[in-house]
Amino acid sequence: MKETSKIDTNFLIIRNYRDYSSQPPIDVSYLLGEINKKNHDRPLNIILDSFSFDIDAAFKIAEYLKNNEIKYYTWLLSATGSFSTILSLGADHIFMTPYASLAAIDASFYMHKFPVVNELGILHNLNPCEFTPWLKIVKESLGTDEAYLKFQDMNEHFLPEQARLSAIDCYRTIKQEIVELAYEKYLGQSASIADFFMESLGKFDISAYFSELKSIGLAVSLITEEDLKMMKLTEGD
Amino acid sequence: MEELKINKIKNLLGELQTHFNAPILILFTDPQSTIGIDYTVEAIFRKQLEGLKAKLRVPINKKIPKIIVAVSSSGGKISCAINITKLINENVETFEVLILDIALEAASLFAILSDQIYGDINSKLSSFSPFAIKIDGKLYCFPSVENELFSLQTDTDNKLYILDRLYRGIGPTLISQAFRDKRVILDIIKKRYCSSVEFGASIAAIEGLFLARPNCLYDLTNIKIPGLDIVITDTKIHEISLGLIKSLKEFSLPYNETSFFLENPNERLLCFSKNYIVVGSKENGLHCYRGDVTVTSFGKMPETKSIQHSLPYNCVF
Repeated sequence: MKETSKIDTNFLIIRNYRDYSSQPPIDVSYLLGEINKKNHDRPLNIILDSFSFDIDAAFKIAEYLKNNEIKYYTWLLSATGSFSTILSLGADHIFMTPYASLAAIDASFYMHKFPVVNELGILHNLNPCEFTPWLKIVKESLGTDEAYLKFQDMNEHFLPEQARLSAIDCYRTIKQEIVELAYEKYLGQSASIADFFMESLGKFDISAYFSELKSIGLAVSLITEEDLKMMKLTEGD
Repeated sequence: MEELKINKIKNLLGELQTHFNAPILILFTDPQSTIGIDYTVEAIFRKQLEGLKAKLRVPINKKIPKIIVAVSSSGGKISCAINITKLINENVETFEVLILDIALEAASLFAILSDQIYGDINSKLSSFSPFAIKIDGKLYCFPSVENELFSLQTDTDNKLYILDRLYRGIGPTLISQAFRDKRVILDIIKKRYCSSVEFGASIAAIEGLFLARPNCLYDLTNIKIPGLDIVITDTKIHEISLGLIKSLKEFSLPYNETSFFLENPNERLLCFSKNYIVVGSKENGLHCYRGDVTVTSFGKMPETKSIQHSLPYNCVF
């Protein structure tokens, strides 16, 4: 059932359009200052029209809202980055247009700060969702432990175990943070929701739209014409 | 002059719309460019669907009954093709594809994910196997190596030799990325065909044709996929398609194409390249993106003296 919410004066717009390769970090202290100016007796409506992938900033903002028991909704207008994904997972409800989407939280995207390896002169952020299934299938294919040991020697040169373990640690930390953020709203489902964004959805530039988000159990509703009119009026203020 | 070209395109789109009794969206990219379907195309599709809903007076939270996307593209980013498909499915009940001439790689995936494909006897699709680029610049297609590596006929020493060659030529990260990309593509295909009564046969056919072998070109007439209707159109549609491609080319690149000028490569180089994209509809106009790049250098390569982006040119007509 759709929650009753009207975009009134209690709103905050986070808007920036940058491409994948040139994103400045989000100014967290400025946004927290803006949040503090709002009325916290009613839910805060955060309008996200941002392509940012700064998940560190999103965790900080979501944590602040949670610690201060500020109930908030996110409103999605268009394609958004993983900053909006994290913030929306902590929201009490997500309202979106059918043109809006949330992004995957992909370890290989540079802003997600996963360990880097230098491979044949090119730097790559290590993604456990990529190398773990690959190593598993090679192990199965090689069949013998002796052959796999030889393969591990080869791996050590290109894909060192220390870097891999560190990437797995990083992945677990982010997943844990998402689970903690989403737990209050989604309880036992929060781990599978984290897996969806971190693993199943795919690369950082693959988006999840309304139907997909609904199917994984997120509290999400489509924006109506009335909401949109109200939002346009609010933006004009 | 420009207006005449635009009217000609709109008239041809009108003819297609009358024939198919549904709004037509154009997806036209430079057949020689490697850019093709990209983030710009994705963003323009969003605007077009938004505009189409407004024109047809469909409320924002309801779907347009049907659209047909007329495609002529040599491909582009697989992730963008997937996103555009998802975006269309959120906003349209039935989405069909008309292949004007070619729908290769990412554009092929886009067509396979639609509800129905139209095309004529000359329409072509191609495989869309994930690939990585070797350090020597050659494309490396994952499925062929995958088949060799996991074949029971290949002995362990040979497998280790293949892995060593792959690691030295490409590196494990790009290999494992290609490995994962294939799973992501298969997942989206499975979602599309999950309601097909012959689900297993649909997936096997798509895997066999489009993911098992790299660089395969297929005539639309030779493709059989259970759960996907392929309709071969008549000569009238063929003529309209040819006319549309010709008009779109003239509209996209309204000057003579001088793609390469080279004078003693060790001393002077002037290289001019271009790419263009048109996404549009009769209702919402044509969004044209044109990118021209001129590279000049003096002295021994690879020292480049200047790179000039004379445009981009991003316009709505």
